[in-house]
Amino acid sequence: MATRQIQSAQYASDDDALMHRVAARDGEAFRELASLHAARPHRIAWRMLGDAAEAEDVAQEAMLRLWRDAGTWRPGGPGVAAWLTRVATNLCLDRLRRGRRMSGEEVPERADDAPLADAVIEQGQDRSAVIAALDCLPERQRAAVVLTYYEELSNAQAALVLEMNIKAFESLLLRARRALKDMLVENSHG
Amino acid sequence: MADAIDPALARKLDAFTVPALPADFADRLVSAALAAPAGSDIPPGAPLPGLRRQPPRRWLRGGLTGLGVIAVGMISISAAAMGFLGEPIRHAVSSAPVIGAVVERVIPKARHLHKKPLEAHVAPPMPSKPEVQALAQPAEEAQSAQWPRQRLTPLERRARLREIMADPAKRSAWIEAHPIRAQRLLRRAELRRQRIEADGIVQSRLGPEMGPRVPLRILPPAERRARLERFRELRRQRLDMCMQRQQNFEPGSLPPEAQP
Repeated sequence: MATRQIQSAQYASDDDALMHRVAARDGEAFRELASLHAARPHRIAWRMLGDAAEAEDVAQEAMLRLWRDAGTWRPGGPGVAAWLTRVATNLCLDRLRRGRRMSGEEVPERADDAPLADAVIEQGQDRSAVIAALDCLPERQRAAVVLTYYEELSNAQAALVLEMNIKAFESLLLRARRALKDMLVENSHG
Repeated sequence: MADAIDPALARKLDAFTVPALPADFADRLVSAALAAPAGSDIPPGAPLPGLRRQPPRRWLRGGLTGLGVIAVGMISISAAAMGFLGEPIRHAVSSAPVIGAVVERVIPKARHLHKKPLEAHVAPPMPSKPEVQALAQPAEEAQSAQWPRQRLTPLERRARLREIMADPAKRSAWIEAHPIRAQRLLRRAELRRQRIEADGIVQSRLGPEMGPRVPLRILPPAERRARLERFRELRRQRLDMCMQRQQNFEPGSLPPEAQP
């Protein structure tokens, strides 16, 4: 735990240095920030929206907001990753609420190098089932699962991102997990 | 950290993998960021259409100019024919080959319109303002100094009047100070009394023997006393009747067929 805290402090100081350069409109620094952190908003958006093109849009919009607001960046904060997590989550929630799903294309399957075809099919089916189950959840429950399970945020951090009380967030997460278990585990056995 | 999750559910959720970002994502991002003007929220795109309206076409502009010229010409000819522009111009218009005939037909008496110069109409001088004469102060106004006017609601005014009327000294002083209002009030009370008597609808609770119901305070003292005596007598009779009825309903007094 101590090692992780030291690492995150190091990342934060690196972020501050990069953001200082980005505020001076340094394209290379922004490219470095993108290579370090753009994957997280992309992952969050992919899992919340279930759409490749929209996920890329959200990641790009979050990074461009970072570029735009670099002048107001305050060093010593939680870091760029936390900022992007919050922005990407809010962008996804906005899109889900508006129902403006801009892309109508099918969810692309991940190219897998596994040699066995039946394993590929089984994995693809599981993946589609998870996407469908997440799609059935209300947007905030979906965000709670994505943030805590996939992005490995603590309940307190995820509650902060969603601007919720910790107790309310735990209740939300419990309901989300119960619903997912009903859909994915118990129904699949039956 | 997050609480422990069901292992079976975790295995299922792990199947949801996400493809990596495209390789050129960072390049596109940096070029988009550098292309956007500083501090702008709008991504670069097609320029907005101009807000200025298109100028009217040449034939439309020519048509409008021609119509304007014709309208101004007609108004000028009419004004000249009516003599508004002076007698020489009116003559010139009337003697014109075509227009003159038309003008003569439309406005036949045009030439006589201003034949005789109008006499200057000079308004007679305004009489000087009459001096304001101070009116004699009405007696009621003068005497109402001891009864200053107050802004009262109707209920308050009525209560105040009742209070004044209850005190004989105040009442006489008030009647002296307000003779017109006092007369009006008395006349109104008299009218009300006559109306009540004429209608005869509102009866006393003691029956028609009491006559129409009127306020005692408006009756003369002798009649008021007589009325009170009559009221007492009627009440006594009614009490006796009640007592009689009570005695008749005692069990011993009932007829044998009505007893249980």
